[in-house]
Amino acid sequence: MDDGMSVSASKTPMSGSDADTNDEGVVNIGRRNFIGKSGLAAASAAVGMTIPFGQNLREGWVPAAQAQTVEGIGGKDGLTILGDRPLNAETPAHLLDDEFTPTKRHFIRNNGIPPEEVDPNTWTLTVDGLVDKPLKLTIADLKNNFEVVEYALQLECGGNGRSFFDPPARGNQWSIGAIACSRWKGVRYADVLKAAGVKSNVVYTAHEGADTHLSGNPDKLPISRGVPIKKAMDSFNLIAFEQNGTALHPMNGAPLRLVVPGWPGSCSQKWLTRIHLRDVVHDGPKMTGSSYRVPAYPVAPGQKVPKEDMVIIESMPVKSLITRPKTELETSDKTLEVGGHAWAGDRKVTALHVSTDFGATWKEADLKDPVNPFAWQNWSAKVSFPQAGYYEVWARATDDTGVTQPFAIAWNPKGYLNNSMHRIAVRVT
Amino acid sequence: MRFKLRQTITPIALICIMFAPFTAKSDPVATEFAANVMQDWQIPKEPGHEEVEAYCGACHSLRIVIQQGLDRASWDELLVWMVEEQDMPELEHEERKLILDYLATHLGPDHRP
Repeated sequence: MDDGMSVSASKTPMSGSDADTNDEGVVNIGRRNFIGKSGLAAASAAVGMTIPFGQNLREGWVPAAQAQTVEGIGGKDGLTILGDRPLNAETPAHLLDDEFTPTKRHFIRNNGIPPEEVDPNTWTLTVDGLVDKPLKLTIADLKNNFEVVEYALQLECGGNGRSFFDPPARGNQWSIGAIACSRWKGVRYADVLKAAGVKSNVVYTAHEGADTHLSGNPDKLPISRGVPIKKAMDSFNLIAFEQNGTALHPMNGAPLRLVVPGWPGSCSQKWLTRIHLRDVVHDGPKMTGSSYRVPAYPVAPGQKVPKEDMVIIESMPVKSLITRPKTELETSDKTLEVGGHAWAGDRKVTALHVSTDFGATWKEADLKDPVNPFAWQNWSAKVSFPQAGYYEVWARATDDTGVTQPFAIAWNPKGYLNNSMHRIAVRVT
Repeated sequence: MRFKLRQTITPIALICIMFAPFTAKSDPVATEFAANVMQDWQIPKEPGHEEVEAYCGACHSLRIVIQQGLDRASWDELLVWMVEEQDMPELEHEERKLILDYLATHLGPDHRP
């Protein structure tokens, strides 16, 4: 085998190849041919990641840097990488302490492969379906024809907290870091819909983006979700082109995305290319089956739930995070300032309590109002420890309907909506 | 379509492992990321691992496979979903059994990282 790479045969020889088949059915691919699908699969598996232009690889190829995936996370700082293909990364709690999440600390969620062509000068957004007047808009059109606003808006992945499920739930194993609250600038989603003219029979929106499916099939969208038209018309949803005062990061949806805060992050389509209005509940990829759905009734851990009993997640539940100090703090002080953020989907957080005795007693924290609806709320508290030893600080937020965070997880098959309390460890010496 | 991979993994793997780290960019996140790949994202080299690497790894990182920790019934459902919704090629009976056995045995609830 002196040419270095041979690929085992499928029943049909590759078209256009100089293929030879020996007695064992092994096909030697000639020098000017590609390494073939199974060779690419093997190579991808061996390096543990995608080879994005793998279909261009030729025999005798020596890999250079995996530039596509590695460069894509330039401009990010300190994220914990859950997976490289698709690229998913979350933020450790102590790196989320900023009042507004810097772009470099915003979590990354990919369902497919992000697009390469993301020129803001040529990008277009189509608004069609059940509208009076379909629109095709450039980013310049959006800026020139609609009021540009900037809001601090929370985005949380529906599966944030999935890693704690027992038994395990399938999907990305986020711990606590798929949450952020950046300053987003754009035009109101509602204003653009009004300009197109929403027909009276519209029930749901349907969103599409320019990311491509992992399988490489160009006709398959990796994700296309939407929201009920009532949620879409909320005045705080944005079609955004700036994050924290600069252009969007390629991993956060550049050059244009939706920000629909308070609902699972998947409602906020990245690399946004199209919005269309429908008279039925949207049924695009990751709208159906059990994606972003929970059982219509409480279930036991591990219980099998029929698909017809799964309902679409709407508002995210009340939750909080301790962002200072970093967990595993060692201190000789008997008092400690703790702080973090709290949020409650469509609702407002009205109280935040902390405990240092595993929930036996609670102390109210100083909780600030959000800077605008759908921003997270900052809180701080001073706690004291009676003696040296190991402690945990727990945080518990309560929303404006009186609902607070649970002590344990409400198990569901796909691992969504874990809003159980965040805890950090402190060793007082 | 069936793939027999045993003869192809080793030479390709050697070439890739040799050259990948030398050309990583100097971004510290990226460098750490590239360095971690070789250590953390390998699955146990037990019978069936090559098929899992090929069928699962063709589209997405093995890391998410390692992280799932599902029971057998859930892995079975997941394989159905992959074929029905995610364009994975239909698996022949023997190969499907090999893959499902592997996932249930080596990547079950007791094996989560």
